[in-house]
Amino acid sequence: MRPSDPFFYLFALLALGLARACVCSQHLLRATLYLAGVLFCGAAFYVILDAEFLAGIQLLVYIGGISVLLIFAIMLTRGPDLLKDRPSPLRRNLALALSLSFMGLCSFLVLRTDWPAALPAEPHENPVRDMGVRLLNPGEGGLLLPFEVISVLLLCVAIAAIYLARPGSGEERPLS
Amino acid sequence: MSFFPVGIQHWLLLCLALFSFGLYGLLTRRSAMGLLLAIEIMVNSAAVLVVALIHLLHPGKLDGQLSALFFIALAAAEVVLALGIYVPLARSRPSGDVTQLNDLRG
Amino acid sequence: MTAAPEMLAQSGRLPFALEALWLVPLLPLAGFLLGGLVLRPLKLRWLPQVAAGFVLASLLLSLAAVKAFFGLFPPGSEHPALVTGAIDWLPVLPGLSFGLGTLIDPVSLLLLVVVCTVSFLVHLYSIGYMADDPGKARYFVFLNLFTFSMLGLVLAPNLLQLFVCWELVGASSFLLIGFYFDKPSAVSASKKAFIVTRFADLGLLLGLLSLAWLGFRLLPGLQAAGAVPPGLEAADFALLNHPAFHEAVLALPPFVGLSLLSLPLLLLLMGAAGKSAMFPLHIWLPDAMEGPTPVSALIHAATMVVAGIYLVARLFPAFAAAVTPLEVAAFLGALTCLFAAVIACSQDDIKRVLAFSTLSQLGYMLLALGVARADHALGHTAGLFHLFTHAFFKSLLFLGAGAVIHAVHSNDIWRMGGLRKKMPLTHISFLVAVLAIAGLPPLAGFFSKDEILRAALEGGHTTVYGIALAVAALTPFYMARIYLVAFGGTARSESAKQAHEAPAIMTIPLLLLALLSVCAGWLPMAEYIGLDHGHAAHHGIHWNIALPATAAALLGLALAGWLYTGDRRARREALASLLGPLGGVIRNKFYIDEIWLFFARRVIFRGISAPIAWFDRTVVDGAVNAVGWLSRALGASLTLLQSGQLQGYASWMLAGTMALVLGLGMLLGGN
Repeated sequence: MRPSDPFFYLFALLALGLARACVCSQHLLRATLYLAGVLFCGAAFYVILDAEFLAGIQLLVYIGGISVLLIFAIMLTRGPDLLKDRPSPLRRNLALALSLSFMGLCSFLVLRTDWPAALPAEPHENPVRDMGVRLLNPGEGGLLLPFEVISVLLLCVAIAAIYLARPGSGEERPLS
Repeated sequence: MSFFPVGIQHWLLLCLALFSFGLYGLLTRRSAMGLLLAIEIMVNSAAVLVVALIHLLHPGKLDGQLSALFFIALAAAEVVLALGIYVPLARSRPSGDVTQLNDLRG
Repeated sequence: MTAAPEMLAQSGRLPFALEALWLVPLLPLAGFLLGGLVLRPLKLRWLPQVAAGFVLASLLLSLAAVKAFFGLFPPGSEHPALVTGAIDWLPVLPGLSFGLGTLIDPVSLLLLVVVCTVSFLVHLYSIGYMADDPGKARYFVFLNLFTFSMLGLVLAPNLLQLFVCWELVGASSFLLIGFYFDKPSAVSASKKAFIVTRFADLGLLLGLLSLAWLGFRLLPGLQAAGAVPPGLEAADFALLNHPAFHEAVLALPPFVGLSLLSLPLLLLLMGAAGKSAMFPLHIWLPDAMEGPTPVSALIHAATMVVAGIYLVARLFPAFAAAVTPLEVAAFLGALTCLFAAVIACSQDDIKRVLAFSTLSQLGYMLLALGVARADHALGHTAGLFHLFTHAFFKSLLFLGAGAVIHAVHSNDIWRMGGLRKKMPLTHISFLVAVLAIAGLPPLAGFFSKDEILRAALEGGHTTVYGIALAVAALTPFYMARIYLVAFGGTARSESAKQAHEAPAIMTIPLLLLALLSVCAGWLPMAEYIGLDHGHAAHHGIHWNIALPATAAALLGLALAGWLYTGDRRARREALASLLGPLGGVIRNKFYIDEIWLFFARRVIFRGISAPIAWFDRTVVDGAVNAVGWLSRALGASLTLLQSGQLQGYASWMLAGTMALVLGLGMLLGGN
């Protein structure tokens, strides 16, 4: 048992509980807060997995950015009927059956698989720097092209979001 | 399998469980925002899974973290786009109930 | 000589007329194509003359061929069958191919002369008869087509060519019966003729197929044994008439009590009976008189209707080997000739009387063929002899009737009368024809009828002989009846009073045919066509036959004279009351048409067509509709999946993914 193992279980339980609360909560705003909790647990998992930089990004982007954005969107658009999102029993049972069977199938595969032992560790003096180098490296093992693709994607999404959210675009008014 | 030491299988099962919760939410939620929340859980669990897998199979290799970075960027983009669609929709429709959004029914 | 020995032509050694005999049918075909495709669209006025010219060329060529043939093989000697102009037409399988060509033997030459002569004279006559008809061009084009088909039929060296031409003849007959297509009765008559003969042709086709199959199966063995000459094909008449072939077929096990030779021949006989209008398939011929009268003369008296007789005569050695079909033929012929002669006595329409007379005479011919046997083939000669003479006097009768109808504008003999003075040339020729068909010496009918009676008597068919003798008395009676009513006495209608002689272009063919009707019987036919030259081949008058036959003819004539000269209404009425209801039955042609109609309506329509129609509507259409309904229903049920519900799609996607994983796992059977 490693020192991080108790933390794994702690955060695992926390994350599962929060996730359950998030998908079952009838109150959307609360669900969003639970989601933030789940994402926080995700950051903790990154720490346990020796990915401190990623944990930071998770906190900044997800909790600081996305969660806040979601909360704002909900508060801006909330319709009175959907504040209480209560699915029908049939729907719930069907979804439960499907997700449980998915879970069962995948668990079965995971447990059946004979996972190999870990390879020897690859030491990094400064993993963040190495990641940055790889992201901007056009050569062997470099990820410059995906980096640029995702940059363009983000730009497109930003423009698209502005366009879609423009007042009156839902009524198909011509571009002025 | 035992509880300790925590290995690949533990991580995978955790992520699967999180993913399945997301799935459940995806299939039950009636509001578009609820769907978005469920999808976020799923994306996040997938990212954790990738990181854990690479970390435990090949410690010190950065590919998992780099993929997770891309995951996060994609998730952010997706949320932005989804909200971009959702906000005008919520404005033009009486409710954000996805079960009512069945204009493409055959 | 037991059967016609067949010999293939060694090309290049025969006279031109025989080598080029294929031109005889092709000339009218050329006339048909030229007339139909070029002259008629251009509305050229001399189309009839061109059409007649092509037939004249055929006539001259066929006369030259006759001269050349009997120059090579003098009358009284053995006559081989030659095949010239043969081409390979349908190579179906190795060992099964069908050719086209011209078969030259006395029988085909006889028919050739008859067809060409009558056709030419009818063409000539039609130039006058159809002069004012707007459909003249169409008429002559069809007439040429018919002549081509008939000549092709006569010259066919195998059953398949015969069948093709047989159908072409039927088609042109259909076209010509329905020539006045704006007259409903003509249209229905043409349909009736076509359907009835088609029905009979079913038998012909089946017989053809079975004979060709037998030929195909037996030919290799026969050739290997050297029993038949090389170069024969499965459906060649040369093979089908070969004794070795008969022997091989008769050696096969019989089917439903009939030998495998009798069965196809009976089927062929069915086709022949349809074309030659034998009882009970005769119903189309009287109605076929709706066509123009020259057409009746050519097609429905002299040529097409004898195609059935020709078919039997052509395959006579095979028929003689099988015997049973000949007995059926004799029975059919005797029945038809008596039955039709009785009806002919009761009809008032001049063309219908002639039509029933044709039926009766065709029955006579078939009867003659039916009483002939391999060892006593006089009937074969006699039947063809009668075919020959009958063609002339019957077409003469029709053409004369046509001239009368042309003058009086009516078919009813009771609206004529007194035409003797007004149409002298027509009268003379008609009288000659009546006496010829009555069988008075020395006219043509006397000799051929004599031969038939002799064949029946010497063959030991006493009943058939008796029937034939009775018909020999009935024939003069009904012929004299129409002659006396139409030409004798005084005019019974306005138009009959104003009747005048036909133009020369019409009377010349009449006189020519009258001459032929007188002389045709003087031919020593047995020397030309005879399967047993050694046996009783001498030509002459047989007093034991001629005396009763002539007495019967005179009796018939006397009875007609007693009833129809002058005003004899009282006598006729007395006779009618004597006959009682039987007279009505005869007048209504024994109700055969009604029986067929009943059969068609009640049995075929209701028993066969209605269930088939029901099957078609419910099962066939139903299956099609069911497929349509099924796909629509399937589509409708699939659109339920296309619900527009996001989560529905997500569920299906998830389920599909899991199914895929499971399926792949099981398929790879893995660890």
